[in-house]
Amino acid sequence: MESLICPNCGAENEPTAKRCKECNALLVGLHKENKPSTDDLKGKDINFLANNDQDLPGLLHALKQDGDITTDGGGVAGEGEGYASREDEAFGDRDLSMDEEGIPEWLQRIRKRAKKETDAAGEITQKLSVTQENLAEDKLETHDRSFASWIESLRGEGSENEQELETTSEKTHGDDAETAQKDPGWLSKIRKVKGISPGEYRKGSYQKTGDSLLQWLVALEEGREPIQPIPGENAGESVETESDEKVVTDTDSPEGVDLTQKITMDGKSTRADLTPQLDVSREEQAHADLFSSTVLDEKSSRAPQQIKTKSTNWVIRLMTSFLFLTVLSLTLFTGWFPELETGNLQPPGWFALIDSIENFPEDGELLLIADYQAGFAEEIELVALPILSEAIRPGMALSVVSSKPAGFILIRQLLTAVPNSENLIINDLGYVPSPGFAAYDIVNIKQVGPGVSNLINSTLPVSDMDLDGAFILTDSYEGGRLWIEQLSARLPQVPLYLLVTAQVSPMLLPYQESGQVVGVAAGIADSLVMDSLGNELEMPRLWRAYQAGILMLIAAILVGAIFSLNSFRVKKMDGADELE
Amino acid sequence: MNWNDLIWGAVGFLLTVMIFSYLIGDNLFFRLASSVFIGLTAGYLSVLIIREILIPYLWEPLAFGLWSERLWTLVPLALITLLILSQFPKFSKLGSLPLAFLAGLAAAITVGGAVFGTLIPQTRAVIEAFDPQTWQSGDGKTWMKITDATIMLIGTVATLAYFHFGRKKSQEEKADANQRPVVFEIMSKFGQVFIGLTLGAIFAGIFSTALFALVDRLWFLGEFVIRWTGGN
Repeated sequence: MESLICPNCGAENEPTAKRCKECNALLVGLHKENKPSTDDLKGKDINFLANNDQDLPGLLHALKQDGDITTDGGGVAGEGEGYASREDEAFGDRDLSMDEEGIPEWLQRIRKRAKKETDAAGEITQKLSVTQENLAEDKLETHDRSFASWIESLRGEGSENEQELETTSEKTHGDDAETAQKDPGWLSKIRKVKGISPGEYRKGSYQKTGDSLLQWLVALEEGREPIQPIPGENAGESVETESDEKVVTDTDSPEGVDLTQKITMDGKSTRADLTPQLDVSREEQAHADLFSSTVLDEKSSRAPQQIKTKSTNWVIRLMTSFLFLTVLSLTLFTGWFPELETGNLQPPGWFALIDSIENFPEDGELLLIADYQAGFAEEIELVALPILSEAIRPGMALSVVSSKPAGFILIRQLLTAVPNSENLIINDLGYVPSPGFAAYDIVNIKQVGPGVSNLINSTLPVSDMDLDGAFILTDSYEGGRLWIEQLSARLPQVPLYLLVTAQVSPMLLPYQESGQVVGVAAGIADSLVMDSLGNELEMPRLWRAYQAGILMLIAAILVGAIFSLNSFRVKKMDGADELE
Repeated sequence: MNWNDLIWGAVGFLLTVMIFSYLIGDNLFFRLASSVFIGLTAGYLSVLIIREILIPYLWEPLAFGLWSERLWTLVPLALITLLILSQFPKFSKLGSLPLAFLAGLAAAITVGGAVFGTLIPQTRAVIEAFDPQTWQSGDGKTWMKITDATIMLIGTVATLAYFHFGRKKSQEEKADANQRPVVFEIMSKFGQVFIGLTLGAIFAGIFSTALFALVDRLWFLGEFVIRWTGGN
């Protein structure tokens, strides 16, 4: 069966694949790998390493990184075949010569490297484990057989390597104690289990049986190596280590299958040895590298920014506020600011409003809706007082409903200033928290079932009252809109009048344009028009102060706009800081 | 000036000055005045709700009402109990029923009012603005009325186009798949102008109200000082 071996990770891919399924590496130019069948492997001592080195791409990559493969003919391909891999591209055309003994040149380099390094076999083990994982994905049995034969071949070579290691290690390493001190703790423990002293390992006394560390690890993984207890301890019992960690061996495992290996933890082992290994795939590593490359370096230079000190802002704010308050106060109490001509400031629908309220009957009935807060009471009073003074006749009946907590109190305060209010009949319909509920309730009292009390303190629904008009006093758009919607839909015959603050009028004017509301009076500007009706108010002083405030606002906006055009700009480090 | 007016006037004067102290930055006096205001509002609201709503509509029907009234009152009482229990973490889910009831009720009232009180009348008003009888009646010149109606129609359509977020569903992947249709893009530009003018008018109204409140407070402070010092 043909397959493509990825030169990057060693995974097997389909012959027609263009990219590796594991690491997405490019597979173009690779030659297909003929995987030998099981029958072909029987009885043969196949030197996989000699004929086909694509099984160990990672190893070759590691050799390349170490620089062992030089440019003078270092090849990575098998004999007789062109090898158009990435390694070939890196090294160019190589001389794939073989030595007289039939051992490929690259293998010789491996052995040379093994002479230099004491743990060369360890790296091979790592590469073997990668390849083993890839091979274990499909046709496990076939892979096991081929892998077993391959291991056999490795054993043969490993024994040769260890013989060479023995000769070099005798020169470089000292006695057993020194060797044991240099070896990692886990390795010494494994050797202890095997009953192999470091000296014996170096001497290779156990090599006659072909049993090396590498082979032992492989045999252990295959399950052929029985679990041997650590000398000096009872098998099958929990082992309490110096660090109070218990390692329980599985004594009930099936025969021949050793599931666990008891390893004692001594005091020398540190927490660092116990830290779990993080398994990061190549894709995750690639993503992490991309992310780190996009993150700005903390030490990189940045453009300097103009930092305004707090004291400067505090001083400017205080000076501006002082100037503003001084001008207003002088205008209010000394009248030094001249009154500006404003022209004709008639509000929309003003004539209709005045004509309508002037035609109220003497014994009519009005509905007052208090939907404003105490903070805006002065402005509402300024707007509503002239109109209510004109609309309310002696002997009229007033129904008051409030949708704000202090509504009724404010209405009573307002009505005390209305002339001829002593003889008024005031019907308090109560307080309802929501304007929508209040409006709905005020119209549908009669339709509610028996025994249910309404929030409105009235036995007679508003719809049955002969209302001549309804005044909505509000300081919020939402409240005004809800009242207008409910009353205009359910009481279309009752004219509505809006007495609102200046901040609300732009949003409620469409209701006057559509005819749902007869007229709107908002803010000090509209109350100035009403002042012409003859009511005594502090209008001149208030109006002059208001005009002075508007002028100062316009000046502040213009100055701010000029400064913003000449604002500070931040320049980068390669240019000088410049204030423009 | 009697003592009552003097004392409460002094309290109002002091609180006003404490609020004005925010001009020099956040300080203890401003926070103290704000806390007094918040506490006073919460206390007054609580007393008002208890006196105006809970006692007359919950306690009195249960205590002194007819059996039918008592039965009906159990429903809001149960909802109130569930709402109070929902404040405890263990019974937090019990509050969903009364809140759902309130939300449904508010939605029903609001939607009905919005449709019959705003949507339909405002649409009718836009249509009637192009009625020739409207142009000929009333004051003002006809061409000005036609211009007003046209501007109102353009402003309404352009503002609605600005808030159009729909996209055309296409099987093919095009570069401009996320772009609005050209007509909506052009109309939305006009809509931005009208929205900007509206926001500017709202800002002017808000500033007008705030300025008047400031002028009124300065007038109060000055008037109190003048009266306290015996001036006219």
